[in-house]
Amino acid sequence: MDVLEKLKILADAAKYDAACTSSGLERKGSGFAMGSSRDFGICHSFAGDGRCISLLKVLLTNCCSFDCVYCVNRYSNQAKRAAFTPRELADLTWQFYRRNYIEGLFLSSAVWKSPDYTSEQMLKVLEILRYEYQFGGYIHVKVIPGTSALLVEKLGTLADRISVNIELPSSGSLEKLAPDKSKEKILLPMKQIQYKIQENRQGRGRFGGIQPVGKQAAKIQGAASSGNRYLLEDKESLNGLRCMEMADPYALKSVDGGQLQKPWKKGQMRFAPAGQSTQMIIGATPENDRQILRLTEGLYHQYQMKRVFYSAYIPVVEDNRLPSRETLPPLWREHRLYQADWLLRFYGFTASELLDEKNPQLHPYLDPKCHWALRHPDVFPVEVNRASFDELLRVPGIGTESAYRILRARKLALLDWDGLKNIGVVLKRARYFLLCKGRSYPFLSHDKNAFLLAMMSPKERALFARQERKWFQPSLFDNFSAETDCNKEGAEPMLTVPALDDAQKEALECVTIPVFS
Amino acid sequence: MCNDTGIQLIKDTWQKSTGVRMMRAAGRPKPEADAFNAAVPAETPDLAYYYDGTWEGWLCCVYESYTAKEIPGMIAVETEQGISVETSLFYAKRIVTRTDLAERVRKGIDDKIGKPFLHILERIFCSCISQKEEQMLLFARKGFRYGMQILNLRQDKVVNNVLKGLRDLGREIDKWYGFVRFSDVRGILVAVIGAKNNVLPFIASHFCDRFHNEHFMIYDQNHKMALVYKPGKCCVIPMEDFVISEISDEERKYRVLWKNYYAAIEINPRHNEVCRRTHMPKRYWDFLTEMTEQGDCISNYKGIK
Ligand code: SF4
Repeated sequence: MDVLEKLKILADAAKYDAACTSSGLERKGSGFAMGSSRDFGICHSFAGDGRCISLLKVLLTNCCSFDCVYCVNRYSNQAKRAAFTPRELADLTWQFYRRNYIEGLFLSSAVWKSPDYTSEQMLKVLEILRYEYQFGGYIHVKVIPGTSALLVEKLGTLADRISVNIELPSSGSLEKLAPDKSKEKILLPMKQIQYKIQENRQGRGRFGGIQPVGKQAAKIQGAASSGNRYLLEDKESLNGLRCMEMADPYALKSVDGGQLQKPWKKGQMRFAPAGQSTQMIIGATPENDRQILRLTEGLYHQYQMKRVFYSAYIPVVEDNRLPSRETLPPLWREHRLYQADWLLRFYGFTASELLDEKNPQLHPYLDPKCHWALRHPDVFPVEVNRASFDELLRVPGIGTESAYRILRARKLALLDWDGLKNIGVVLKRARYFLLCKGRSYPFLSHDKNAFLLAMMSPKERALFARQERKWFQPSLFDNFSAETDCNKEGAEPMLTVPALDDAQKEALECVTIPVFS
Repeated sequence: MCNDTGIQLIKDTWQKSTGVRMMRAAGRPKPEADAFNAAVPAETPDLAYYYDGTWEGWLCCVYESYTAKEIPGMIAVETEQGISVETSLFYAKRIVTRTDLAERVRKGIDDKIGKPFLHILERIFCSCISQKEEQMLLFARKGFRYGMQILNLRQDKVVNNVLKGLRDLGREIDKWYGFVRFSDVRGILVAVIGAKNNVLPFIASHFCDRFHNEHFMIYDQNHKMALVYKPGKCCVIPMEDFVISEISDEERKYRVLWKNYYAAIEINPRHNEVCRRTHMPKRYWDFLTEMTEQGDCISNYKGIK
């Protein structure tokens, strides 16, 4: 089989992986034969589905000895199999990189023979690239659950980002759908990686050997044992780490025992400098959004993930343990979860704020921040000229950029509605939640239809018009209407479909065009 | 994911400038949005400046504008081929480029307003905003009057325009970081791009760093300029024309591989043309290996080992 054939098969098998970013690491090219890394991340192309192509995303092989139900590569599935030799893949990466097609390599693999055997092959690719070719581009490597600690450490030393997929949002589902993987096998390397990264950051010996002592150990222990029931007990993970200490960390020999040609300079060797990430499949199992978000939060806090990725389940196989093949991938849900994830990471929200027991799912037609704002009328309205940065961030329609602009602009002069618009703050949604110099937005329409239209993006409106409207129970908006003293009798029929056609939209927009005195 | 360098620049500028502003703002009028138009001398709309299209030339225009106390309605580029825009309705004034004057203005901007402001002007000079020179002149005049705080006054049309141009430039630079496609021609990497803004000076450092052991050239066919690099040496030179003529088998092989990879990585049921076009507008497609056929499409694929 030639390289082209292999590339087709193995890229095809890797395409469902969501994580393909190269951001978060700035590294100059001067120490290497070729290659650098930019912290803003560079997209080299966009595939037909609109996703950014940044890294060469392939499997080393799709020959698998595991049998995860949701996966095309499982051994019980009939599929064309292929495997790159480490040299082929390293060459391909090098040549693609040279032509500026890619930003680096994203290496993942099915489980070939055993997790350790596969990891050794992957390590081989990394060694050729890093040691032999002196490649300085970005490398993201995926660890297979069950890989031994020493191999994880070696991989992490050569890669920029390392990740272990958590696969499914609960251990119950994992048992059911991925019988060869277990919570422990997944969380153990995760903990190890987190720990190595921390150690590295603190400059305690470049690659390990040092046991956490005193406060540091207590901190890790404390973080891991507090709270999240999905996550591994801390004791086990530390045990794992201790076995790892045994290995001589400086024995950087290549897998087949030969001495490495040109070892990296010491300063270049950092353990996974771009951090660790993980990914889970959404929609294959019955967990609700609240569980998923809480798990996400746990992963951010206790495992210090850089990113958690979601991937909407695309039915590729028929099995009675899975949603049927006709189910559409829950793309909207994935989108909403990413939005919520964003709020967790950059807007200071917590999972329990966004979703509680009464609302375990994210709203299908409103973005999570909007939904949150509607449930908390007591927080609003916010005075633009006095609100703190954090308060501004919580206003629907105001992002970090707008919030910055407001802070900057109001240093020079008090902002009025006109000024707010001029500095480029989009008021479509925000106007319902803001006061400027004590005044609310002039001629603000409190008509419920208009309000809902303002809250939804055009896409959401289209979605809304297409689907059943029973989701909008009047009670959802009662708080808000009561506050705005309008439409108190929420019993009147909600949005009607004709309200969504273009002419009406325009008409509604006319109503809200501000008139300044 | 892609950070907007233009915006970043402004943010940095803001942070650095606050200190400067505190010291200097005392003697300067506090800008109110409406006080702006009164702040500059009345325009002389029937006056046009001709200059040679260089950065120094533009600096001399600023000098002239200040010494003659006038604001031209147009600043046009005059080269051997003629004048860049139709100026027959204008009363023309030729501005001779003199390095000493240019240096004086440059230093003036640096000292009186601040280095970040100068950097912004330099960037804008390479951008493609309409009536670039005039807008820049107005912007610089405002800068002299109000100092660095001018950057926060997006309320003002000129400032907004310039900052927008800056952002566009930043975005395009980010795009070209990714969209340059090299071909290996006898060991030398060559690429052709067609940029709206003059991005070559800005992408140079990135590519020189990344491929510092290679020989390469990036030709911008819209600006007729080329970035040429050999280890340790890098320059941007004017170049009339350039096409990649010969494609070796080796090169063809990797192109085919890349095209096939591109096709394989798409999740077909999720095809989304709109999304692809917004991130990768059509004007870039001519320069992207995976989006062009150029006779080495998949059907032509032969003999790859
Ligand atoms: S281990 Fe499971 S998920 Fe991974 S390739 Fe094999 S079957 Fe698929």
